[in-house]
Amino acid sequence: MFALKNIDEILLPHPKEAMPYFISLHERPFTFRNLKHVLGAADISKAGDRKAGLAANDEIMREAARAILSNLTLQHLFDNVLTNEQGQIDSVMIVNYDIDHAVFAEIASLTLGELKDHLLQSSGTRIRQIGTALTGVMVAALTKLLDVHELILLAKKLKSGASAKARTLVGGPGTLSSRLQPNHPTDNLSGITMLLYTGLSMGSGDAILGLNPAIDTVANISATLKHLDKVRRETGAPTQICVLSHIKTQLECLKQGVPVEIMFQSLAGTERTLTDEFDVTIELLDLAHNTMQAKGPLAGIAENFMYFETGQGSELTYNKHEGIDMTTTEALCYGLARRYRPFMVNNVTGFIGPETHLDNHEMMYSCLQDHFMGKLLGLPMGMAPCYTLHSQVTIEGQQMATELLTAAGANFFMDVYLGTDRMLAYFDTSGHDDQTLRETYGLRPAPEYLTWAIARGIFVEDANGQVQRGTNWGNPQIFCDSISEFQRLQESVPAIYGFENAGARPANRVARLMKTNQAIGREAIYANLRPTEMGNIALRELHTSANNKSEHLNDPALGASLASSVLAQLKPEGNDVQIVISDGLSAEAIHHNIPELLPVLLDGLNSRKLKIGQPILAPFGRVKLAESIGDALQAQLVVTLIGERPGGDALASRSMSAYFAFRLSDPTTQKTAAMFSGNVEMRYEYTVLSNIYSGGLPPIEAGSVIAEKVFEILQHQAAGNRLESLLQAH
Amino acid sequence: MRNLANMIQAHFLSSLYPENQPLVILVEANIGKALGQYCSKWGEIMQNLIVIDEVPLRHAQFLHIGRLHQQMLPVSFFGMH
Repeated sequence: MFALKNIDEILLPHPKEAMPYFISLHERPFTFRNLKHVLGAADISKAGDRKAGLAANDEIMREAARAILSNLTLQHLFDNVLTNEQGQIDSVMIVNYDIDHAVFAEIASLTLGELKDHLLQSSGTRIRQIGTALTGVMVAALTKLLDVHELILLAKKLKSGASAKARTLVGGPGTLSSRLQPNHPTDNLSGITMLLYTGLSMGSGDAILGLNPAIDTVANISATLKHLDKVRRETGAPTQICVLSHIKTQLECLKQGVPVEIMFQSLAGTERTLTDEFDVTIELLDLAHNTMQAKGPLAGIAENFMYFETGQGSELTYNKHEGIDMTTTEALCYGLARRYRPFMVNNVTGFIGPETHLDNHEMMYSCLQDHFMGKLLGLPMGMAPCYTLHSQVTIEGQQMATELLTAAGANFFMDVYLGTDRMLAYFDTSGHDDQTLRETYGLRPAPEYLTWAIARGIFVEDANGQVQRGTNWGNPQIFCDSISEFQRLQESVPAIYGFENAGARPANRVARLMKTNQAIGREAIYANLRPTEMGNIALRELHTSANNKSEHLNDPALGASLASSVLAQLKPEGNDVQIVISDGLSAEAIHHNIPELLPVLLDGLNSRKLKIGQPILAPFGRVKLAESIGDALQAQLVVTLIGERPGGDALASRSMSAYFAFRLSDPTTQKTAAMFSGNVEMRYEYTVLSNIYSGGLPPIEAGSVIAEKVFEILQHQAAGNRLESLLQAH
Repeated sequence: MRNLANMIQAHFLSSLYPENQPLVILVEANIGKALGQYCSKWGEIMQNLIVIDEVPLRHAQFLHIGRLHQQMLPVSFFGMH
């Protein structure tokens, strides 16, 4: 048990006026407006920083920024705190200043260049001690001076001491663990079981059995948690479980006695992103941690209870980065995570898309930076180098990243069967990858889990103490009572291309099927909307600020607003509901779903005599387009039907989502919503329904489900977590 | 679906259908909510209607419907071939 430090007791500097920095390199003068610009320019060039105007224009400018950083002392970085746009120190930054001042006093006069040299000459124990005296900004600044070898070498020295304990001890020397991620597009329990059995048979899941749910309601999260608990008990696998829903949902589940063994939350590096977009405050995180420590199912067994996910670029995606670059905001996430001594921190760089990381180089380098930064700040870092099909990151780059990160001593990777996430439409590491890396680098799973896996014939330990694949490795049938049960479970999972293996790798036939489906999905990104394939309902076509596919893919902000010429012509209509249809990242999803879905949805809405605006078709749109349209037309609720980014199998490239954006036009409702979320400037509340396609929620059924959700939102005058809370209370 | 729902409504509301008798419809496809909403005119009528979807259909004399558990309804078929 440990007590969280009172926020008021954290020693902070007084914010100063931002000062410019000057340097001349080979007679070329450089001026950087402030420390944020020095930090941005000192990094390698990444899409997100380029878009934010923070990346260096060329290599000489980058080295100029690095030269300035090299000569700044840690005391200078302490004193010149990065503030938000209002000149204030936000809550995430405050937590970052919770450092060991005795250690800081020893190193405060070192320049970053001297600190780098000192760390490279130090032992892991000394490096870890220095990490306790650093803020996220200091760590980010240091990281920008490190090359690839240094990022790997220093992180590797931090492997010993980066472990954390729940039922299993994850991150010990000589180990490589995994999170088994059995995501299913509809949270089908049979499908989840199949993926759990498959992963467990491959020696995966010693870090956690962790499901990303398709539906974030207390009822569904309770059901899936209970199911994970059942599978864990029946198989006897020594591990822990988690369903990665919102922290408020998990707290409610915990209150009802549901086994929330590890508490999950996504973090952000600025308060505005954390609060406005993730609906989380420091106070709520404190509450969750203290509740888990006192009342969680693993209280008294585990030493660590929290699981955080991060990834460079989320603050930038929401345009709430406060002028700070992606690496630095990521480090600020770690400074926040450190407060809670988590069981796992997982970095998902590559998940967002080309607006943050355009290609393999950008993704790989960010992963190495993030892993090092997290470890230096004392975190049990796992990594999920991953990619989406609308970026230029490929499986080859992702695999190279995993090799480098294993060399650097990452605590764990994901196990997504065949690397294809069937719910989140992205591509991550697989159980095959994890076992390949264990064999390449001579690593083992967590000790408690290894004992269990040897007993099940999944691994064997030879006379020399080497752990090898056992006869049952990769055979999920060992957990089934019969072949018919295995077949039944198998039928409930999409994108299962086979279970044949070639050693630690999938058999060539399986790999070819997977890659072919992926190629089809990538192709779907570049299809354009065809208005003639929307059915018989008349639509009005309005254009966003994105003029073409390239602009649309690389700059999401353009698709989040209507073109100014279009906005100038719109007048308030004051309808209850406005439907918006957009291709998003898959026009094919719209072509395949809208003709069946839209008539059912309109029948449902008309049955309640709601005032409905003529549905809008908006090519090259994004989710936040709802706010541009909602503001212009003064609609109470905007339902955006939008193509999801392709992933999974070829069929899943036809998957669509429905976003419900409830406009908080009534001052009383706005005040209530602001109090609930902690975001005083909140203008819209969102609910989402995803995986609408023939292999998930079929379009006809989706039309009805969307209509019912509209009724609930309008009746309760609430959406998102607040709506779920109200429904739960009823 | 509109036509099917109209036919079910007509039968349910006719004098041939016993009063206060619940009507249970099993369907193989994932269309339970949509069919239920159309049959009930989006909640206006047929309060005794239950639609259970995603059930593999088979011949049976009667069936047993269990209690809702984790968003699943157990359905057992009874009969003789």
